[in-house]
Amino acid sequence: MSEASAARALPDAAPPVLRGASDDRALTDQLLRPVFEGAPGWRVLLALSGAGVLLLLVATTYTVAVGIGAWGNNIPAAWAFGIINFVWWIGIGHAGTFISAFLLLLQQRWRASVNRVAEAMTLFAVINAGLFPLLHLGRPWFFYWLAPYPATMQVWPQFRSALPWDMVAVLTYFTVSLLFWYVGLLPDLAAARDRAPTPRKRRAYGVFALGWKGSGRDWSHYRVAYGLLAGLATPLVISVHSIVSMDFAIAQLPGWHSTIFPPYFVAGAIYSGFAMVLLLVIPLRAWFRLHDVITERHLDAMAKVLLVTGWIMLYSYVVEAFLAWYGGNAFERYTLLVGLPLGPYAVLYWAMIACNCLTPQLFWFRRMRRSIPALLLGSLLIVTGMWLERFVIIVGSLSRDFLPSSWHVYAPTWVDLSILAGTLGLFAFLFLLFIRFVPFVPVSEVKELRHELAREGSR
Amino acid sequence: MSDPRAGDREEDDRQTPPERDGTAPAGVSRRVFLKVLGAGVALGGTGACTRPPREKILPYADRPPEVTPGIPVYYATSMVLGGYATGLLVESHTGRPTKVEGNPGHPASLGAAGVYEQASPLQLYDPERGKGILYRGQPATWDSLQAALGLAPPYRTRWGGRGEGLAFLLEPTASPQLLALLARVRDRLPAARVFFHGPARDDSAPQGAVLAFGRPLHPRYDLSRAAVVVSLDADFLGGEMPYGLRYARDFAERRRIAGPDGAMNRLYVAECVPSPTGALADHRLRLRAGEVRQAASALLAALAAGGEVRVPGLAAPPEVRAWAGAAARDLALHRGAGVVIAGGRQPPEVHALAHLLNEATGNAGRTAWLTEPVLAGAGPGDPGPTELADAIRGGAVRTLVVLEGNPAYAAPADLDLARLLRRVPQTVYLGLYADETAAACEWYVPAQHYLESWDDARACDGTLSLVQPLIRPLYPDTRTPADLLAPFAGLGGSTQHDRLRDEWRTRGGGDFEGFWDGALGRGFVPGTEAPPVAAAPRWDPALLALWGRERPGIELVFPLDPSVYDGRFANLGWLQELPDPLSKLTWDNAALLSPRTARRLGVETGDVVELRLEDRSLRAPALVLPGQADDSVALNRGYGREGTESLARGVGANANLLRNAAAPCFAGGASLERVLDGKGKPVRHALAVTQAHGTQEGRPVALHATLEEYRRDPEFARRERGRALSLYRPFDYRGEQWAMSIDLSLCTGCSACVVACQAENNVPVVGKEEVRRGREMHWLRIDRYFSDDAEDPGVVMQPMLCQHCEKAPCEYVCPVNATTHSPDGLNEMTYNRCVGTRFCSNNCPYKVRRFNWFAYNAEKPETERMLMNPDVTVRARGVMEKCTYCVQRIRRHQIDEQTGRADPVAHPLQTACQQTCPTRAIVFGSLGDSASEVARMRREPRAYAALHELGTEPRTRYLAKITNPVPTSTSAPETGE
Amino acid sequence: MTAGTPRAGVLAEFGTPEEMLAALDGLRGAGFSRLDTFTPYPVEGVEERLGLRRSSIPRWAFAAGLAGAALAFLVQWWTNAVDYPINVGGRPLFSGPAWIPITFETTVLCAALATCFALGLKTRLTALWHPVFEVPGFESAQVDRFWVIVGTEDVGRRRDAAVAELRRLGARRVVAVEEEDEA
Repeated sequence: MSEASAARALPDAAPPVLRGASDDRALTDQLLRPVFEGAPGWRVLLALSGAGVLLLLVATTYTVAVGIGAWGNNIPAAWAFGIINFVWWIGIGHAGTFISAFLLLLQQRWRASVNRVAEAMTLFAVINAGLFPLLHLGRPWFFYWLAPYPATMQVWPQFRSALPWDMVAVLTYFTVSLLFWYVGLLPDLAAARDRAPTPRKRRAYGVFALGWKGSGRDWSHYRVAYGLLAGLATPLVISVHSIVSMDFAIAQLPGWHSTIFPPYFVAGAIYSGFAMVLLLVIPLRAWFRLHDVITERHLDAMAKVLLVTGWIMLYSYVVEAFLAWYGGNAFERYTLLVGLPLGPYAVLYWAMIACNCLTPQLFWFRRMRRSIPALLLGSLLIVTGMWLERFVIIVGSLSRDFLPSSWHVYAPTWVDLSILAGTLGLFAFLFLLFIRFVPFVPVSEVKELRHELAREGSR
Repeated sequence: MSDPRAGDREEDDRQTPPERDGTAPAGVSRRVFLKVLGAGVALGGTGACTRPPREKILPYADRPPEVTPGIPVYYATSMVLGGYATGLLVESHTGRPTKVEGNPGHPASLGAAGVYEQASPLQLYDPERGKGILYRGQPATWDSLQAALGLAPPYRTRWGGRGEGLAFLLEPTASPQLLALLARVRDRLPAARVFFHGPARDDSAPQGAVLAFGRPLHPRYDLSRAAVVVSLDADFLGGEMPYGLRYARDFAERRRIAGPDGAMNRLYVAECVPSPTGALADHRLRLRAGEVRQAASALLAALAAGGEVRVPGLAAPPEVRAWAGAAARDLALHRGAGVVIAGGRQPPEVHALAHLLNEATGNAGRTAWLTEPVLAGAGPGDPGPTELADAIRGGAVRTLVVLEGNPAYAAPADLDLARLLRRVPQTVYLGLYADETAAACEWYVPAQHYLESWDDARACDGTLSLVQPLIRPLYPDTRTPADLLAPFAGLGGSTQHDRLRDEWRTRGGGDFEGFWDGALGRGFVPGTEAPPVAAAPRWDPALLALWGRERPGIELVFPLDPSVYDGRFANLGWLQELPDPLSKLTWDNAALLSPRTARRLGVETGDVVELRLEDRSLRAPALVLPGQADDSVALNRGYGREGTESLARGVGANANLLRNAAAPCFAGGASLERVLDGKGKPVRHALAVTQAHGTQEGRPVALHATLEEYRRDPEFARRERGRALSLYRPFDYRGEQWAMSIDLSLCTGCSACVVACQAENNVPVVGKEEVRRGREMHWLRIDRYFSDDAEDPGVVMQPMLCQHCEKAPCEYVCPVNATTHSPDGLNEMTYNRCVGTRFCSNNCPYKVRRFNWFAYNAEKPETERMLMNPDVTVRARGVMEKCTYCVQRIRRHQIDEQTGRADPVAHPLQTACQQTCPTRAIVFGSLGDSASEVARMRREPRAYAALHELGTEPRTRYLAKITNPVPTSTSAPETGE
Repeated sequence: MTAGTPRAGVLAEFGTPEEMLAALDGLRGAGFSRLDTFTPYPVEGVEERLGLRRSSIPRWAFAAGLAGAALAFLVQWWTNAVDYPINVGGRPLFSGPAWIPITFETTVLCAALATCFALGLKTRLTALWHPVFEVPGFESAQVDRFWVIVGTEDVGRRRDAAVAELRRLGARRVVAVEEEDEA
């Protein structure tokens, strides 16, 4: 889905990745304006999301105070909302790294103006995700026992389990994403420093810019380092969700015990991630009138990614069911051909199929790929569908496993729902702070892009 | 002054010092135990009391030089239920009875204990027991009670000196000393009347004997010699039948087969409500309780006609003819080696028919014989609650002393005892709890628990048994029935212990002390069982019942509850949370309907239905249970309690409100309909059922075959055994290798093992809401699988506990090494290392792991903490737990072996579930010794591993259930099943 | 070239990257070699003209990655198979395959950390001040202007020549930067 080929296929069809923006100074000022002047209605939104954060605090405090029993989990469904939300959030996170690293390596120019938003989304999503492995523990205050430290009990973690893998993967992922994001931010912080209207802001951004001066020597190191980070982040993003999928795949539970999980989960992650990016970028674009910087071209490209990953999901569902039947294992067969599609959660299962398999088909049509309502609705459905998928995989498989005698349905409690809502609040809260204080469109990269385009134009 | 109350009141004011307000004793802390321990030792070589006892009691095996904290001592005693004693061994830790086991020597136990026995220590420590004497709800004293009764100086002349207007209400009893006391009372107060009220319908057996032999006799059976057993609605494998533990053991010994060519008894059951006995039946006839008599008649007719039911007028339905024909042929085939047992629920006629059947098949005197009645108060002549009600109505009762039994709740509703009791001018009630009867009576005296009192009793076979206290009464004001009777007998000052010894002096001849010590140490007196008596049967055609063509309405059946009995155990969390063997229902009773009846009435499980019988009606939730007879609805007794017991209050519906004295166990002509709310929607009730799904979905979990199939293909379980393919080299195990084998052919589902496990391992009770969420904590559960969803399916019971897999899926997913494998093959759970990821439970294919979702063990009452087994960690919030194969017992055994303290006779190494199992279905031991029973069972061809294909290599192996129906090849078409 | 960005010398502002590149060529033609640029974004061709060698950061990253991998694998092996060997689900004590994920993640983590550390070192990050910041109007270097600096040691006595050269090459502004001693 390289945009170059697309452009060749239909020259008139590919709108520019950058429009208008008379000169660099104007462009810089336009992109820095939100940071210096804020935005209308920002405080209201922050208050709203703040309420969500409060809800999260209440629910988590309650959970830690009385015990994990405050959630709906039971035997057999010992994992439920906690792990669902974890996988969902970390999956969403993946699109950020994918856009900023993977597309950088592929030299997809359109990534320039959206990658910072995507990376920020990654960070905040991973923060949300990171909450759950902690919270869902029976004794959260002992989480550090998963780390190899010389304990008085002289016991070490057990590294055959996927959970230590998971912990290392998530921590690595967060750290690398943070570094990548910040390195990318340096020149823009410097720009903000040098355009700051007040001394206070100048000083503040000056500190965060770490004295970046953009000399030729700096840039030569910078480009190598940035490329290197991208090269490291790309396999990382693949590995992280593969490992997350192993939390299930290494178990022998029918519905979990499957070798296609890693690629299937990675695709799903990118799928939900791009949907989330669209859900963020489209309002942002309208809010700050960035139609020249974030053009239909970007939306169109991301819609295409949705279409592709959506098909990978569809394929995975089919293969999973087929292999269950073809493999001939009675338990697998029951779970994937009866338990999930016809069991107690059949409604959610078919809702998931509808959301994840039908929705992306919209984006076969160029008009849909560029229609704001279609994109928003589609993305919303996809994000929901991916949450449902994790519910079906985790709760659906657990609630009906090997021994029919232990089958038992699961139902969430108000705490489960509050925590899910709360993380949405926290996500919005962090994101609002981000767009208020950080240049959320990479100024320097966009200027570089503009310069390249100009050169090509003149040539 | 004839009205005692004026006097009483001033006495109350005078004689109620503040410290006698019936609060818990202070002296239960560990330090106090140890302090008084020394005193205990000094006082008589035993420290088995929180405060040293004045009397001498003896430990079971041999007297220990002293009580060593941490080393339990075992004492023999007996628990009386339904009037009959079961011999027990009680484990005592530094003076606290913590665990009950069966007494291997006692004929009624042979080492096994049932659900009620296992749960009884919890009742001892129940914080809601009555603690102080109450007069109209106000704290009172023993002396004021004595004075009120005119038994304390200055003696008032009461009851005309002869006992006019004085009445006692007792439970039927076989206790020699109590009966002697009663005799003395009768001598001193000849006009005093004694009434009896028992939980079960004890009189139908003796009355059946009257019909059959002309006098009341007590039937006994020897199932160890019976090749064919026919049960006429007799649940002799279930909990509540007297002598059930022994019958279960004897039956099992004839049931257990070592190989395909082994012999096996055959069980015919005609029953209405699915029961553990029915679950084991080879031929189960499902019919209304009221039709059992007809079935028995058909059986008799079939015998007369040599296997074919052709007696005119006995045109029984085909399934009955088939059943009766097959049973008759078998009984005839095994003359003298068969037995017919009639159930306590059934009317005298059925018992008489059973007697006649045993006579007719030459079993009388061999597998079935008669003795003089063991129980006093259950005979045809003995006045029961009905007579009492009449007497009260007639104003003939002015002072009534009720000794236990909670009649105000348990008596049939039509007697209306609860209201009548209030009509009696002076009433005294002795009971464990301030229950419904206490509320209806003027005086309440808290009763002593059997673990803290002296008494004697007889087992169902007449064996003389002793009840000796394990601990000094927790509450000083508690009394025994004898304590209350003694003053009337003029023995006011005496203690129970003295009276008991005096009564026993008449026995044992010369060396009384030796005899007494021996009896105490053993817990019973060997060779005291009632001798058989000869009796000539009288044939009375009137016993035969013609098959009724018309079926009058719905039939209501009122079984005793397998968990809470008649309600006396309703305040015990262990039992409330114990799933019913068949319905798997907890914290409730429900109206059981057959699927067909449910469809006909448009009722679903969980619908609230209104049951109507005569002018009485009751609302209860419905539960559809395959195997229940059509048009027959069973509602267990023991629920809907309204006493002061907080756990029992308001749980379930009170079936007694529907019973009538004439037909206390079942009655026809009832009706049932759904209750609709204002909007015409059915009213629903949330039931806490622990097993939602009935069948196995064709999975290799609980294997089953008939003996015929087994013989044809002994290796039918081959696919579920043997080493599974694995990438890993098998781990090198040396020395003792613990393992368990469970014979599904012998598991009745009685659930004694579940309670035993709970008691041994400090397993918490979580309550109805948590059970509904799927959070019950039982380490050992019993899975009940129906062969199909039909009306009358076969049933397989499968005890499911940690399988201790050699390749445990739970272990390799634990991130912190909290569950690992021991060198002797145990799957070990390290609680204090667990962080609670619960991945292990997700990856356990047997779902036997349990999680502490909340701090279930926090704020336990002081008394209940005394019950905790000190050898087992009490688990904290947020950690995983599961069956450990009773590792504490294993390690103690190994230590004893090393210190030479091991006593394989008194207590061999057994897991709690194994030790209590009445049928010995569970066998535990080491694979290191290839001669061990567990190893031998593993080598049987029908041994297999549940979910073998997963390659978990479980150490727990099951022996496929073998049933023994009449081989199809040899059976005539019309009797073919 | 070992020396870093000149801290003093002659500074010139250009309007476009093309002018700046041309100026660099001109200066090199005039024999100036101690050069550097300040631009809002990386400009193609600067590196060759400044004669920079390829950055050494990848080597740092590679070394750190290797170290991380070795450390991770050894820790897992030693803790689970050597220091506290225990039977876990009948699995072999040496469960190599199960240790790969953490090994990989640690590799990436260490490499990334090394990369950023090296970047900071080489571009002297966290040194918030640099003499050129004192030049009025230099802010434009982060916005839309392209600056060239000729190092003092290079300018030497030929300062006027350098200034003249820069002017000739179309610099909009030419400023001298002196390094204060206290800096």
